[in-house]
Amino acid sequence: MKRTVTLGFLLAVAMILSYVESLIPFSIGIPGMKLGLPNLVVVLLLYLYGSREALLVNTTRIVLSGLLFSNLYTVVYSMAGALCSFGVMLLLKRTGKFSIIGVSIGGGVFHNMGQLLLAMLVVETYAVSFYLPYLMLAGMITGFFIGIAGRHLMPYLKKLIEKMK
Amino acid sequence: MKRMFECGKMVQTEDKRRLTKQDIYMIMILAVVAFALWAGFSAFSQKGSYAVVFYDGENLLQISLSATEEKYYQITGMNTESVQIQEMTAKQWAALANSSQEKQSVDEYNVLRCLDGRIEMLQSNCPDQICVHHKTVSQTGESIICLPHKLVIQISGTKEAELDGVVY
Repeated sequence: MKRTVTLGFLLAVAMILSYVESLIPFSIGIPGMKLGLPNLVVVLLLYLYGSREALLVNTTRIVLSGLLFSNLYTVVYSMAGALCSFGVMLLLKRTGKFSIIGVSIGGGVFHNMGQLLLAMLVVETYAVSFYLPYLMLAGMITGFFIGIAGRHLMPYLKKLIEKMK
Repeated sequence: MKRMFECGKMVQTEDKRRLTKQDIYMIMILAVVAFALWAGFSAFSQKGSYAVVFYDGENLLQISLSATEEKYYQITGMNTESVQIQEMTAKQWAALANSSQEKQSVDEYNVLRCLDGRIEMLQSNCPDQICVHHKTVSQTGESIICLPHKLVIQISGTKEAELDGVVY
Protein backbone atom coordinates (compact mmCIF):
# COMPACT_ATOMS: atom_id res chain seq x y z
CA MET A 1 0.00 0.00 0.00
CA LYS A 2 2.69 2.45 0.99
CA ARG A 3 4.62 1.39 -2.06
CA THR A 4 1.68 2.30 -4.25
CA VAL A 5 1.51 5.72 -2.63
CA THR A 6 5.21 6.34 -3.17
CA LEU A 7 5.04 5.18 -6.78
CA GLY A 8 2.05 7.44 -7.40
CA PHE A 9 3.92 10.31 -5.84
CA LEU A 10 6.96 9.69 -8.01
CA LEU A 11 4.72 9.37 -11.07
CA ALA A 12 3.33 12.81 -10.30
CA VAL A 13 6.87 14.17 -9.99
CA ALA A 14 7.82 12.60 -13.31
CA MET A 15 4.78 14.15 -14.99
CA ILE A 16 5.60 17.57 -13.61
CA LEU A 17 9.13 17.18 -14.93
CA SER A 18 7.73 16.25 -18.38
CA TYR A 19 5.59 19.36 -18.25
CA VAL A 20 8.49 21.57 -17.22
CA GLU A 21 10.52 20.06 -20.04
CA SER A 22 7.80 20.81 -22.56
CA LEU A 23 7.88 24.46 -21.42
CA ILE A 24 11.61 24.89 -21.93
CA PRO A 25 12.40 25.67 -25.56
CA PHE A 26 15.48 23.52 -25.75
CA SER A 27 15.13 23.02 -29.48
CA ILE A 28 18.28 24.41 -31.07
CA GLY A 29 17.55 23.27 -34.58
CA ILE A 30 18.24 19.60 -34.05
CA PRO A 31 15.22 17.36 -33.76
CA GLY A 32 14.89 15.01 -30.86
CA MET A 33 17.11 16.94 -28.48
CA LYS A 34 15.67 16.98 -25.01
CA LEU A 35 16.75 17.60 -21.46
CA GLY A 36 15.43 14.28 -20.26
CA LEU A 37 14.35 15.55 -16.86
CA PRO A 38 11.80 12.77 -16.29
CA ASN A 39 14.64 10.31 -16.63
CA LEU A 40 15.71 11.44 -13.15
CA VAL A 41 12.66 9.73 -11.69
CA VAL A 42 13.26 6.59 -13.73
CA VAL A 43 16.85 6.35 -12.55
CA LEU A 44 15.81 6.91 -8.93
CA LEU A 45 13.11 4.26 -9.19
CA LEU A 46 15.55 1.83 -10.69
CA TYR A 47 17.76 2.22 -7.65
CA LEU A 48 15.13 2.63 -4.94
CA TYR A 49 12.72 -0.09 -6.03
CA GLY A 50 13.53 -2.11 -9.10
CA SER A 51 13.09 -2.59 -12.79
CA ARG A 52 9.40 -3.46 -12.72
CA GLU A 53 8.38 -0.37 -10.80
CA ALA A 54 10.59 1.87 -12.90
CA LEU A 55 9.15 0.53 -16.14
CA LEU A 56 5.58 0.80 -14.87
CA VAL A 57 5.95 4.41 -13.75
CA ASN A 58 7.81 5.39 -16.90
CA THR A 59 5.30 3.97 -19.38
CA THR A 60 2.40 5.42 -17.42
CA ARG A 61 4.16 8.76 -17.32
CA ILE A 62 4.70 8.80 -21.09
CA VAL A 63 1.12 7.91 -21.94
CA LEU A 64 -0.39 10.34 -19.45
CA SER A 65 1.86 13.31 -20.10
CA GLY A 66 1.71 12.62 -23.84
CA LEU A 67 -2.06 12.81 -23.81
CA LEU A 68 -2.08 15.84 -21.52
CA PHE A 69 0.68 18.03 -22.93
CA SER A 70 1.27 16.91 -26.50
CA ASN A 71 -0.02 14.38 -29.00
CA LEU A 72 0.06 10.76 -30.04
CA TYR A 73 3.16 11.17 -32.19
CA THR A 74 5.16 12.24 -29.20
CA VAL A 75 3.87 9.30 -27.19
CA VAL A 76 5.09 6.81 -29.79
CA TYR A 77 8.51 8.42 -30.10
CA SER A 78 8.96 8.91 -26.39
CA MET A 79 7.99 5.30 -25.84
CA ALA A 80 10.58 4.05 -28.33
CA GLY A 81 13.23 6.19 -26.69
CA ALA A 82 12.16 5.27 -23.20
CA LEU A 83 12.15 1.52 -23.78
CA CYS A 84 15.52 1.66 -25.50
CA SER A 85 17.02 3.75 -22.72
CA PHE A 86 15.40 1.63 -20.03
CA GLY A 87 16.86 -1.57 -21.44
CA VAL A 88 20.33 -0.07 -21.52
CA MET A 89 20.08 1.36 -18.02
CA LEU A 90 18.89 -1.96 -16.64
CA LEU A 91 21.74 -3.75 -18.34
CA LEU A 92 24.34 -1.27 -17.08
CA LYS A 93 22.98 -1.44 -13.56
CA ARG A 94 22.86 -5.25 -13.54
CA THR A 95 26.57 -5.44 -14.32
CA GLY A 96 27.16 -3.60 -11.06
CA LYS A 97 30.19 -1.89 -12.46
CA PHE A 98 28.67 1.46 -13.28
CA SER A 99 27.74 4.25 -10.91
CA ILE A 100 24.35 5.95 -11.05
CA ILE A 101 25.97 8.62 -13.23
CA GLY A 102 27.17 6.05 -15.74
CA VAL A 103 23.77 4.39 -15.82
CA SER A 104 22.11 7.73 -16.40
CA ILE A 105 24.51 8.64 -19.22
CA GLY A 106 23.80 5.33 -20.95
CA GLY A 107 20.10 5.98 -20.59
CA GLY A 108 20.37 9.50 -21.97
CA VAL A 109 22.34 8.45 -25.04
CA PHE A 110 20.15 5.48 -25.86
CA HIS A 111 16.94 7.43 -25.36
CA ASN A 112 17.99 9.57 -28.30
CA MET A 113 19.16 6.54 -30.28
CA GLY A 114 15.82 4.77 -29.84
CA GLN A 115 13.93 7.81 -31.07
CA LEU A 116 16.24 8.21 -34.02
CA LEU A 117 15.89 4.56 -34.95
CA LEU A 118 12.11 4.83 -34.98
CA ALA A 119 12.31 8.04 -37.00
CA MET A 120 14.47 6.26 -39.55
CA LEU A 121 11.88 3.54 -39.91
CA VAL A 122 8.99 5.98 -40.19
CA VAL A 123 10.42 8.33 -42.81
CA GLU A 124 12.26 5.44 -44.46
CA THR A 125 15.63 7.12 -44.80
CA TYR A 126 18.95 7.07 -43.09
CA ALA A 127 19.18 10.82 -43.49
CA VAL A 128 18.42 11.26 -39.82
CA SER A 129 21.67 9.62 -38.82
CA PHE A 130 23.43 12.88 -39.66
CA TYR A 131 22.31 14.13 -36.26
CA LEU A 132 23.42 11.04 -34.37
CA PRO A 133 26.71 12.48 -33.08
CA TYR A 134 25.00 15.63 -31.82
CA LEU A 135 22.29 13.61 -30.14
CA MET A 136 24.84 11.31 -28.54
CA LEU A 137 26.76 14.25 -27.14
CA ALA A 138 23.57 15.87 -25.87
CA GLY A 139 22.50 12.59 -24.27
CA MET A 140 25.84 12.28 -22.53
CA ILE A 141 25.74 15.79 -21.14
CA THR A 142 22.15 15.68 -19.93
CA GLY A 143 22.62 12.13 -18.63
CA PHE A 144 25.65 13.21 -16.66
CA PHE A 145 23.80 15.99 -14.87
CA ILE A 146 20.72 13.86 -14.30
CA GLY A 147 23.02 11.25 -12.79
CA ILE A 148 24.60 13.77 -10.44
CA ALA A 149 21.17 14.99 -9.36
CA GLY A 150 20.09 11.40 -8.79
CA ARG A 151 23.17 10.62 -6.75
CA HIS A 152 22.53 13.52 -4.43
CA LEU A 153 18.81 12.90 -4.12
CA MET A 154 19.04 9.20 -3.41
CA PRO A 155 20.06 9.19 0.24
CA TYR A 156 17.18 11.52 1.15
CA LEU A 157 14.58 9.51 -0.71
CA LYS A 158 15.93 6.28 0.73
CA LYS A 159 15.61 7.64 4.24
CA LEU A 160 12.09 8.85 3.48
CA ILE A 161 10.98 5.51 2.12
CA GLU A 162 12.51 3.64 5.05
CA LYS A 163 10.73 5.94 7.47
CA MET A 164 7.42 5.21 5.80
CA LYS A 165 7.79 1.47 6.22
CA MET B 1 25.23 -1.62 3.32
CA LYS B 2 28.80 -2.72 2.75
CA ARG B 3 31.31 -0.37 4.23
CA MET B 4 35.01 -0.09 3.80
CA PHE B 5 37.53 1.49 6.11
CA GLU B 6 40.35 3.35 4.59
CA CYS B 7 42.97 5.24 6.61
CA GLY B 8 40.42 5.45 9.41
CA LYS B 9 38.03 7.26 7.16
CA MET B 10 34.75 5.60 6.43
CA VAL B 11 34.03 5.12 2.78
CA GLN B 12 30.76 3.77 1.49
CA THR B 13 31.19 1.54 -1.47
CA GLU B 14 27.58 1.34 -2.59
CA ASP B 15 25.36 4.09 -4.02
CA LYS B 16 27.54 6.99 -3.08
CA ARG B 17 30.47 6.19 -5.27
CA ARG B 18 31.48 8.66 -7.87
CA LEU B 19 32.34 7.81 -11.43
CA THR B 20 33.73 4.31 -11.61
CA LYS B 21 36.45 3.18 -13.96
CA GLN B 22 33.83 1.60 -16.20
CA ASP B 23 31.90 4.86 -16.29
CA ILE B 24 34.94 6.67 -17.58
CA TYR B 25 35.54 3.97 -20.19
CA MET B 26 31.95 4.18 -21.35
CA ILE B 27 32.07 7.97 -21.59
CA MET B 28 35.29 7.76 -23.53
CA ILE B 29 33.94 5.15 -25.93
CA LEU B 30 30.74 7.12 -26.52
CA ALA B 31 32.71 10.31 -27.05
CA VAL B 32 35.03 8.61 -29.52
CA VAL B 33 32.12 7.07 -31.43
CA ALA B 34 30.29 10.41 -31.53
CA PHE B 35 33.42 12.20 -32.68
CA ALA B 36 34.16 9.58 -35.33
CA LEU B 37 30.63 9.83 -36.68
CA TRP B 38 30.80 13.60 -36.67
CA ALA B 39 34.19 13.61 -38.39
CA GLY B 40 32.96 11.05 -40.92
CA PHE B 41 29.84 13.02 -41.74
CA SER B 42 31.54 16.38 -41.94
CA ALA B 43 34.46 15.07 -44.01
CA PHE B 44 32.04 14.19 -46.78
CA SER B 45 29.78 17.20 -46.45
CA GLN B 46 30.15 20.18 -48.69
CA LYS B 47 27.93 22.90 -50.00
CA GLY B 48 25.02 21.03 -51.52
CA SER B 49 23.80 21.78 -55.01
CA TYR B 50 20.37 20.15 -54.79
CA ALA B 51 17.71 19.74 -52.21
CA VAL B 52 15.76 16.56 -52.71
CA VAL B 53 12.32 16.21 -51.22
CA PHE B 54 11.11 12.76 -50.28
CA TYR B 55 7.61 11.83 -49.32
CA ASP B 56 7.14 8.45 -47.69
CA GLY B 57 10.53 7.37 -49.02
CA GLU B 58 9.72 8.39 -52.59
CA ASN B 59 11.52 11.08 -54.51
CA LEU B 60 9.07 13.91 -54.91
CA LEU B 61 11.00 16.95 -56.05
CA GLN B 62 14.48 18.29 -56.72
CA ILE B 63 15.29 21.89 -56.01
CA SER B 64 18.41 23.44 -57.43
CA LEU B 65 20.22 25.43 -54.78
CA SER B 66 22.22 27.44 -57.30
CA ALA B 67 19.26 29.69 -58.14
CA THR B 68 19.78 33.14 -56.77
CA GLU B 69 16.21 34.39 -56.45
CA GLU B 70 13.97 33.52 -53.57
CA LYS B 71 11.72 30.55 -54.26
CA TYR B 72 8.83 29.06 -52.35
CA TYR B 73 7.50 25.56 -52.65
CA GLN B 74 4.16 24.57 -51.29
CA ILE B 75 3.59 20.86 -50.89
CA THR B 76 0.02 19.86 -50.13
CA GLY B 77 -2.15 16.82 -49.75
CA MET B 78 0.16 14.43 -47.92
CA ASN B 79 -2.88 12.84 -46.29
CA THR B 80 -4.76 12.50 -49.58
CA GLU B 81 -4.11 10.38 -52.64
CA SER B 82 -2.36 13.04 -54.69
CA VAL B 83 0.50 15.12 -53.42
CA GLN B 84 0.74 18.49 -55.14
CA ILE B 85 3.70 20.78 -55.47
CA GLN B 86 3.45 24.44 -56.27
CA GLU B 87 6.52 26.48 -57.11
CA MET B 88 6.26 30.19 -56.43
CA THR B 89 8.33 33.32 -56.50
CA ALA B 90 8.46 35.57 -53.47
CA LYS B 91 5.73 37.81 -54.90
CA GLN B 92 3.38 34.96 -55.67
CA TRP B 93 3.89 33.53 -52.23
CA ALA B 94 3.18 36.86 -50.56
CA ALA B 95 -0.02 37.14 -52.56
CA LEU B 96 -1.06 33.61 -51.68
CA ALA B 97 -0.20 34.02 -48.03
CA ASN B 98 -2.36 37.12 -47.83
CA SER B 99 -5.30 35.65 -49.70
CA SER B 100 -5.44 32.30 -47.94
CA GLN B 101 -5.34 33.75 -44.48
CA GLU B 102 -8.95 32.83 -43.75
CA LYS B 103 -8.86 29.56 -45.64
CA GLN B 104 -8.95 26.73 -43.15
CA SER B 105 -7.18 23.89 -44.83
CA VAL B 106 -7.74 20.35 -43.63
CA ASP B 107 -5.09 19.06 -45.98
CA GLU B 108 -1.62 18.57 -44.67
CA TYR B 109 0.74 21.12 -46.11
CA ASN B 110 4.34 22.26 -45.88
CA VAL B 111 5.97 25.35 -47.30
CA LEU B 112 9.66 25.43 -48.14
CA ARG B 113 11.71 28.52 -48.74
CA CYS B 114 14.87 28.46 -50.78
CA LEU B 115 17.23 31.40 -50.66
CA ASP B 116 20.96 31.75 -51.32
CA GLY B 117 21.50 28.02 -51.53
CA ARG B 118 19.80 27.41 -48.22
CA ILE B 119 16.50 25.70 -47.56
CA GLU B 120 14.17 26.14 -44.66
CA MET B 121 10.76 24.89 -43.70
CA LEU B 122 8.71 28.04 -43.52
CA GLN B 123 5.34 26.65 -42.58
CA SER B 124 3.67 23.38 -41.79
CA ASN B 125 0.44 22.37 -40.17
CA CYS B 126 1.99 19.33 -38.54
CA PRO B 127 1.29 18.88 -34.84
CA ASP B 128 4.83 19.01 -33.48
CA GLN B 129 6.31 21.87 -35.59
CA ILE B 130 9.79 20.44 -35.21
CA CYS B 131 10.47 20.91 -38.92
CA VAL B 132 9.51 24.60 -38.73
CA HIS B 133 11.86 25.19 -35.81
CA HIS B 134 14.64 23.38 -37.61
CA LYS B 135 17.55 25.53 -38.70
CA THR B 136 18.12 26.18 -42.40
CA VAL B 137 20.12 23.52 -44.21
CA SER B 138 22.70 23.85 -46.98
CA GLN B 139 25.40 21.22 -46.49
CA THR B 140 25.23 17.79 -48.09
CA GLY B 141 23.86 15.19 -45.73
CA GLU B 142 21.85 17.72 -43.77
CA SER B 143 18.13 17.25 -43.73
CA ILE B 144 14.87 18.60 -42.44
CA ILE B 145 12.35 16.02 -41.46
CA CYS B 146 8.67 16.43 -40.88
CA LEU B 147 7.80 13.18 -39.18
CA PRO B 148 4.03 13.60 -38.97
CA HIS B 149 3.83 14.32 -42.71
CA LYS B 150 6.52 11.76 -43.62
CA LEU B 151 8.41 14.44 -45.49
CA VAL B 152 12.19 14.54 -45.77
CA ILE B 153 14.20 17.33 -47.34
CA GLN B 154 17.74 16.23 -47.91
CA ILE B 155 20.64 18.19 -49.29
CA SER B 156 22.50 16.36 -52.00
CA GLY B 157 25.56 17.05 -54.10
CA THR B 158 24.16 15.60 -57.30
CA LYS B 159 20.89 15.88 -59.12
CA GLU B 160 20.19 12.19 -59.00
CA ALA B 161 18.84 11.72 -55.56
CA GLU B 162 20.87 9.33 -53.57
CA LEU B 163 19.89 8.01 -50.27
CA ASP B 164 22.21 5.89 -48.21
CA GLY B 165 19.46 3.37 -48.22
CA VAL B 166 15.74 3.01 -48.23
CA VAL B 167 13.85 0.83 -45.81
CA TYR B 168 10.64 -0.71 -47.07
